[in-house]
Amino acid sequence: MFNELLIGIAMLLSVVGCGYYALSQHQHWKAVTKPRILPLKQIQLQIFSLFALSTSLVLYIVEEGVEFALLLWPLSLALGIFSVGMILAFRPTLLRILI
Amino acid sequence: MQVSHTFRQSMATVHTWCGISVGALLFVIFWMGTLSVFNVEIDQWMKPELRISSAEKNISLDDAINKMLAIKPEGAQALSISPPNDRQSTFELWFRGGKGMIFPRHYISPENGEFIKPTQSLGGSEFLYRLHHRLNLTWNNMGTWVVGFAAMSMLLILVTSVFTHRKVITELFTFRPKKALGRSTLDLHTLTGLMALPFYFMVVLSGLIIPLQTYMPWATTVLVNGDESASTMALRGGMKISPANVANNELVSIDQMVLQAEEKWSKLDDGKPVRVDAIRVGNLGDENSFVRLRRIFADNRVMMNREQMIFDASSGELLYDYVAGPIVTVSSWIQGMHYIQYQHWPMRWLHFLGGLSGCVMIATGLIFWQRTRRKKHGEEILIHRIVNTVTIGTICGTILATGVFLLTNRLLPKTVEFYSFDRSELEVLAFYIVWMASFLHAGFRRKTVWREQAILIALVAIAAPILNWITTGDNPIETLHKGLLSVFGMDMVLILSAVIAIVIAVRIQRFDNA
Repeated sequence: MFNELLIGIAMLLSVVGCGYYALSQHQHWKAVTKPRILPLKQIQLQIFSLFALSTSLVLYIVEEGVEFALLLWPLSLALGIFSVGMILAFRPTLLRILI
Repeated sequence: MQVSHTFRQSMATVHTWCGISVGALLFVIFWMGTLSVFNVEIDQWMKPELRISSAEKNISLDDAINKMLAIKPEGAQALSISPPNDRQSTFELWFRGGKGMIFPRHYISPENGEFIKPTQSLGGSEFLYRLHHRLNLTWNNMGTWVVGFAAMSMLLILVTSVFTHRKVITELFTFRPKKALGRSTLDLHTLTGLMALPFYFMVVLSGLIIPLQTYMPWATTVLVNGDESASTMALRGGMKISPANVANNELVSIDQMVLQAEEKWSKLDDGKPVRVDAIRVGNLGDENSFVRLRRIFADNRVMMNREQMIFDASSGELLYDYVAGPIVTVSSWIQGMHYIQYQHWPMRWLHFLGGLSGCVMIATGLIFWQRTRRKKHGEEILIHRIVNTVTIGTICGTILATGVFLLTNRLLPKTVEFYSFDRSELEVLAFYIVWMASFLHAGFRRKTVWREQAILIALVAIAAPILNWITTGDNPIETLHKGLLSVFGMDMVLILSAVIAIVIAVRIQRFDNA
């Protein structure tokens, strides 16, 4: 059960990391926030993204070993990109929870 | 066709025309490959007798083998056994004859040791999977060659796709469903294409590497003077044991051999529990009879086919002990990554979703091309009409035919014959008839065909789990309660497919009306 929980957290971190990366793009930031909200610096968002994505990779390596992590991480990144793409398309304001 | 002058334009031209030429074929390969991720689960759905939720094992391997040997047919030279595992609860056994001949498969219940007679069907493993890797064209390995050509083209498409985008990062997250259909289709094509690009590279490249001996046999046989079996043994291990032509039916306990192998392989795997998953008794009834144990698909690692042991069947003496070297280990990782037979459910689902995103990418690419051409040239251009028919027949037709394949499985009585077709052949026949009908429908009714076929897919997808419930008594609540997660998962995926098809049909209707 603990194993599944860690994998779930790693997957969630992939989505969060992709979310931060999308927010670091000007056009997506504009879609998510109201003009009155001050934009976080692009570099800050990219650091958050890098931290979330690398933590997810480390979790996969620790929990599943390098062999599986090599497959799990790119696939969960794809899942993260797709999820964030769909959130931006249908409910962009949901991404405000990240800021 | 105007020749493009800039590098990006040249890449885009290659990307487009390669995609149009093999897109339909690639969709079929991707779709069948995606379904093959759950081939065992599809088998259990199509053969309800194999749905055994209890993992209680009351009979040994030796018991199962002895039961099989008691019904050994004339001409059988070897017996292959696949013991129960997490995905398949029964012993699966089959005899092999000379020249690659395979006798019908038998299933034995691990609970009571009784033979199980499953519904006659090729299911996911023997139809959908074979359609994926060789298009069911066996003559001179033609199907494998065609799939290889498509895979090479896919690699070209993937490489050129990298150069066709101006703003990769921005496009990575962009999907605008409220824009015009052409725009949103291109967005979806770009999104699904870029998000899993490394995954597509991995599966396509590994798909090309697996049948390398078919594509380039001389690359390995040249080292062993053209001897194919020697080349295979050099690559995958094994030793040649010819029959002595002296009768000897003695067979010592194979359970003991399995224990010995598992103990040794576990030590190589840092003490993790390991499982022998393929057993073959060769040279049956001969003085030189042998038992070969393999661990083809390991539960807890990606690499496959790394260990092998061969024992003398009458004395139990260890004749051969093989562990793959570093080069073969790399190759076995690549193969294992493509076959996805390890016990890792999150990974299996991610592969399934990755495969589906590949299908969406190919489908949206074809649809987008077709829409832009229509705008440019109008309806009456011949190539547009051909591509339109092929696109619809491939995308909707393949999905619809797969649904009908499942539906026919539940509709046909357990024993049925029609002219010279047996039950499993009738299922396959229904698949091909519906597929062809979908192409004809696309050719004749061009205006409303997408919506009509989407509705048909929804009807078939919802009818399949209902018929499963009626014919077996297994509804989703019941299967969940019994722990039959494979059947539950199949039913849920079918219901979800029906919902998605309805949503698509409604959206198409809105666009048609707008």
